[in-house]
Amino acid sequence: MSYQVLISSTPKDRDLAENLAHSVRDAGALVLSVEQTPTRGEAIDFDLRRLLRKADEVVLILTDRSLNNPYLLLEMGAAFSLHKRVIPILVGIDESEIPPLIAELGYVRYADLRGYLSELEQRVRSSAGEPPVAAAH
Amino acid sequence: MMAEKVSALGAMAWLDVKDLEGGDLITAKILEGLDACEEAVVLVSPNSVGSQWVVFEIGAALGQHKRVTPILNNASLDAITPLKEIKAIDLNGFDRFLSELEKRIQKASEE
Repeated sequence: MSYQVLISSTPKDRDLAENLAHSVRDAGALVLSVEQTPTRGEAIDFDLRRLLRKADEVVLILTDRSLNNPYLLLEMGAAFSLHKRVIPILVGIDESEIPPLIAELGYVRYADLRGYLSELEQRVRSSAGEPPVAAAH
Repeated sequence: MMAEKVSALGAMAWLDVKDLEGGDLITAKILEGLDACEEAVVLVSPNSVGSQWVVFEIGAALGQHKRVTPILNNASLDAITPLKEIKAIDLNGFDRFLSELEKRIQKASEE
């Protein structure tokens, strides 16, 4: 079965999410996407629960527009409780603005995305039973 | 106070503030507590409405399909958007929650 990555963002960060989805597909993973809006009826709706369960890892795009979005924080907690690998990707956020919660979970800066994508590719290969790709020197 | 009342009913109460020790990885300990519990109570007060940890913990409980009961103490659920759809209980009516909890404990012990 394909290695699946759920990419979560707010509608305001749709372009970033689409760019990231393209890179994640290039790394060999299947992309599941969800946009968080403040108008959702339920705290965590059925579709999101289903996607969270299917995903092998969950990537959340956090910008200064979405850093305090409660739905993204809620989803982060839900993914974490399902023992999924959770990767906040920070875009344009200063070191001093990173909340303790994100700092403790660990995060990837958008500028360092290549490192994350390279690790993701190894996980995709490993899940398919393929040998790891030798690191480029 | 709330934890003591819950314990008095025969349930084990895991309190995130009390049960965390210096040096603990907070997320790991919260997950440990949630994995072990049957339901979660979230105290929504003026001190907690701005807390990212509170929202994170609620998400973690909902992710595991655990019952989450917001207890309001001088606060409105409007302050925590994702909780708006969940029936909350005012701290003044906490005895009502305890009475409902007691029934759930009894039912679980009969199963």
